[in-house]
Amino acid sequence: MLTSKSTPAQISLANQLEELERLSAWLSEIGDSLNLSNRAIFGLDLILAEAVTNIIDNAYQDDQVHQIQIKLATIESDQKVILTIEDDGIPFNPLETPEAELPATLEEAKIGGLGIHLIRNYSDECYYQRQDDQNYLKIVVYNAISDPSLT
Amino acid sequence: MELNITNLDHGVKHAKLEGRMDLKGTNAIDMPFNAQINTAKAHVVIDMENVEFLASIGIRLLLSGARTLDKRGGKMVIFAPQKMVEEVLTTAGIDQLIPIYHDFDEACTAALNETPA
Repeated sequence: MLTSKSTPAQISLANQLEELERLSAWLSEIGDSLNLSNRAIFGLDLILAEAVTNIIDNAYQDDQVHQIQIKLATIESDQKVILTIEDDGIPFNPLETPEAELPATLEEAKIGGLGIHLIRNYSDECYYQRQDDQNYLKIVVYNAISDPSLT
Repeated sequence: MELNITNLDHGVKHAKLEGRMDLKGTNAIDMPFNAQINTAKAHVVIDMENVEFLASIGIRLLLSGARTLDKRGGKMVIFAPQKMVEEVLTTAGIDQLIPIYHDFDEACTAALNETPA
């Protein structure tokens, strides 16, 4: 079988937190049409919520409206899904942030840094690139496609 | 997202959450959650049976509540999270800070700081 990548589904979001709701609804619809497993949709939902919230909260230093581009494609023969997130905010490579230390007690529990920890743990591959004043985050999730013949 | 709190006979607050604990859902319950759970020395069972999704914003709400209760001599435990939600909790290390139970009586006993038999 050829390794064919599906035409990516895409959505463009404004840098406003209200857009997260539209993003989840889009993912759920696309996930169903691409036959993604519930587990894959849950993981992608989490990755997107964390990554896009981070961008909206931290990437922009002006009051302008910016667009965040999200694309999702599958490589069916490999059971993989590829997610890309592009923004024109300040350069930020989330993969360079140190691995979060999980707190040992409630006292010590810090409130930040959890989002990137979750992104790392729910991705099988993660890549970052800065190109043409854009941040590109590419995430690959394995075993993402429901195969009725396997169940 | 919905939050319903019942005061049980033995002094445990049963806080039932329902819906998606994402940004919108967490913002919807943030104020009543803090007002009703974090203000007193309470023993709280957070019932997550009907929570379909959990992001870091929801974890932060749980953590800050558990920390406040801990300081005041109360306690928070989590009851019956769905499998994928429980995985988020364990991935974030929250199960080490807020214990998770799948038996309601055990959850109540633990919330009261009594050792389950």
